[in-house]
Amino acid sequence: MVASLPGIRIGASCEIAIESADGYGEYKSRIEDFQEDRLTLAMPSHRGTFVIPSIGDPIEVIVPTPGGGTLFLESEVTQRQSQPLPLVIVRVLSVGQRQTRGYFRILNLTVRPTECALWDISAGRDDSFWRPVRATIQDMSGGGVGMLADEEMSVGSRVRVRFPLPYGGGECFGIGEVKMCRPHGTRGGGGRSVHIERWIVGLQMDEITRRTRERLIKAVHRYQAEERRVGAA
Amino acid sequence: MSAPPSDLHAGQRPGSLPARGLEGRRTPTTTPLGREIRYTLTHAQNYLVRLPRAEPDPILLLRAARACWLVEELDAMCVYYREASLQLLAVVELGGRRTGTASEYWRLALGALWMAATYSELGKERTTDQATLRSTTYKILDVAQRMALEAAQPLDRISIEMSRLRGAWYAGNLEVPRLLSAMDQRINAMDVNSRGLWMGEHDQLAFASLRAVIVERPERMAVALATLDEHLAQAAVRPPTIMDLVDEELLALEAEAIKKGARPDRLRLAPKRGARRAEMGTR
Repeated sequence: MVASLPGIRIGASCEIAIESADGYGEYKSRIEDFQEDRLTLAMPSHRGTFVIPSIGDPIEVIVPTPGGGTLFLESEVTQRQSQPLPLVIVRVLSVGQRQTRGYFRILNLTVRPTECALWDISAGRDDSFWRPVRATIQDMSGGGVGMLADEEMSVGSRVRVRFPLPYGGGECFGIGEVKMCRPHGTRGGGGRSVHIERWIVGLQMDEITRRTRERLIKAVHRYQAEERRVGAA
Repeated sequence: MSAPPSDLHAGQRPGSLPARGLEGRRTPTTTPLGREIRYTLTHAQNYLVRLPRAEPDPILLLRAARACWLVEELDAMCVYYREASLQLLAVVELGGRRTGTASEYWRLALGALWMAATYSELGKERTTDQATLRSTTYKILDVAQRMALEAAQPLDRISIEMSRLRGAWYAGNLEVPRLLSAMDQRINAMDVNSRGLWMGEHDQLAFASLRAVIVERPERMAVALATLDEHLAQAAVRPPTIMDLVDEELLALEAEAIKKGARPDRLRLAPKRGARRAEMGTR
């Protein structure tokens, strides 16, 4: 259950996805009101007829955000009313978000960075330094990289990264901000079961020269071309 | 390139790492680089103790080796370089060939082997290191030749050819002049887009430096080396990391140029050994 609904605006258009016995459907609606985890929506309609969900039905409310992303609100129907306006009131159970991406991202990479260091100020700003972190680059786009790191990096921390670009093009180097860090799971090693957590880290490279970013984008194109060539072969 | 990170947040350290409670971290040191060197050396030492059970971490070893160079710990440096080169070659086999990044890891591995072969103790150890360097370069020459034939991307092909040239040069191979002219042909045959991406980048400048060291007169070597050094220095952050301060290839090129009578300017990425010892502070 969620306690508040940031990013929701009264009057905003949304879509309601309903999975019913008749099948799956997405219907246009509007946010009329909200309070804590309760959301009041205009009753969805389809070809002039109201689509009335049952009480307790799970529905998904899809709300576009001003930044170009999308919020997915997993909800359940708690109340309906037909007078004075046909409305449906839902309780939001969980919120998912899809951010917009400015660049195409290539996945399934395994590139070992030639440098990955976190600006560590855990001992105070006077004792800060670049602390090396073991990581592997797993995805890459013109905006940044996704890494699988051996250590947790707090969101907002600065990371210096340098790695070879796929299929020529030299090295890419720059500093980025950790935008996302979540645990990946456990792994075994050394012949016995050693469980070490790894972390999936999303790094937005913001201190990078224009030329380096251009080379990064071109490297993504090269990788796509090569994947297609190998796939075709 | 980069200004010092201004909006910094605390990086968290996991409890799983053995070097977590480093004594060195509590020791007052003068600069971020000094603290990084101290952390890296302690961390790398713990890592070496755990080998071969620990997962490969060639970059930590390379970092430790460079740190050793900066504080003039040559014995430890050679140990780290030897292990780093082995692990870097393994990285090529595991993923470098598939993702087209082999040439970068080969460059680092060859540089590491050259450092070990040049600065290890005279006698049996150095002879072994030199033999390892030679055998590795021949292996790289062989593998790269096949990879270059299969490579479809012009930049990929040229970087692999560059690796062959590097390998031949490090080994003192007689094929160097032939590989130089083959590189020239490749460069001339490149399309405009690829050439635009290649020019002014590390490989192109390293090629120019190699060519200068191999065929040019001593007085012309310094310019090529200074250009390569300038390019490498531009990639450095403030405060610089250990990896920003040492480049084995540049050290090798500088040593060769000096041997041939050149007097290169002071190169930032080819510091004298022990150049940053003062940054460690006092215990």
